[in-house]
Amino acid sequence: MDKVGRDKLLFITNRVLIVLAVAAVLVGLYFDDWTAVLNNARILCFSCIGLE
Amino acid sequence: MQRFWYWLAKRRTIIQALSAIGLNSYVTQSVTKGLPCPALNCYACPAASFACPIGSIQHIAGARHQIPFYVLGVVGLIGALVGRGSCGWLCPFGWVQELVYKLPIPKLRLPNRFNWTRYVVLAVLVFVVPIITRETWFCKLCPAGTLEGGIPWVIISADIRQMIGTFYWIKLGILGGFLAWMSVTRRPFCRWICPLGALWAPFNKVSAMHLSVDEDTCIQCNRCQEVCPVNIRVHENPNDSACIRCLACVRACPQNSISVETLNWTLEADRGTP
Repeated sequence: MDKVGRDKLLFITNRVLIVLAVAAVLVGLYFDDWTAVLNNARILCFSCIGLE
Repeated sequence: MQRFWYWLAKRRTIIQALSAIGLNSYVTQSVTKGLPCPALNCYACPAASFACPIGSIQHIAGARHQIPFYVLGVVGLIGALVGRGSCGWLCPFGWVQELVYKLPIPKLRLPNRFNWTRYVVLAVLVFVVPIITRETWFCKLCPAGTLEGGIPWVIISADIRQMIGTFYWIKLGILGGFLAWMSVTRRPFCRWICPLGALWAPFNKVSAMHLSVDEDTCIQCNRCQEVCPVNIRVHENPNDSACIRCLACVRACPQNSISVETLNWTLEADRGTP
């Protein structure tokens, strides 16, 4: 595959990944992942700090 | 544009310091902790302003048995834009590794073999084991959590100090082991362990920001590999999955053969017209 062809493939792959990532964010926000992440991050993670 | 990247690369340490402060700035916690952090920064840090993406993935996938669309989407968006660039510019734990490496002791230069271990850590400790046990097993072992959360909390809270048990000392031992390793090898956690780096690594080949080597001017002096914090032969594989986009190679290349580019394609180029 020549350079232009390679660049085209990489470009398209990159743009598709960006679209999929944005879509995943929107799907996650629809299922209220934001609140889940926020509430989980706010409470003190005992596992993280080495307490059982 | 290349002069901009060169100028920026000279100031990377300042940006890393500002990032460490910004990601742990405390004041915006009540709102921004719903945002996945663009680096591995433990949300147990008393001042953490963002949510650790790895901890969040384990919680949503493990404890809630749901697909972590939102977190994976944010991680994927960062990866698609800059690949592992966050590792090289924003990650406080990555910065700590670089600082500890500056200690004037003999160094152990390790090849990038067995880099696949970070994918094993990602699959097993971030997904499989948390889903089975409903517990955040990577967080239980993570040295970044000990450094950014465990030690500060033990210092500031008498209640937490009274709760210290065997597990805390095990975590401290893990952190100690990594600190020792970091002092002799460059960025060992990033190269062999970090699951967030493992998520971003495949994006290096297809991210919007990427490195390019001019093969006509490159003299293969290997200066790029000498300065590379993850020991990549940049002139052979500038977008290696281990690359953290620190741009040390861009600064070091005596021929200015390495450049930062954005993925670009135009219909005109495809048709062969100028």
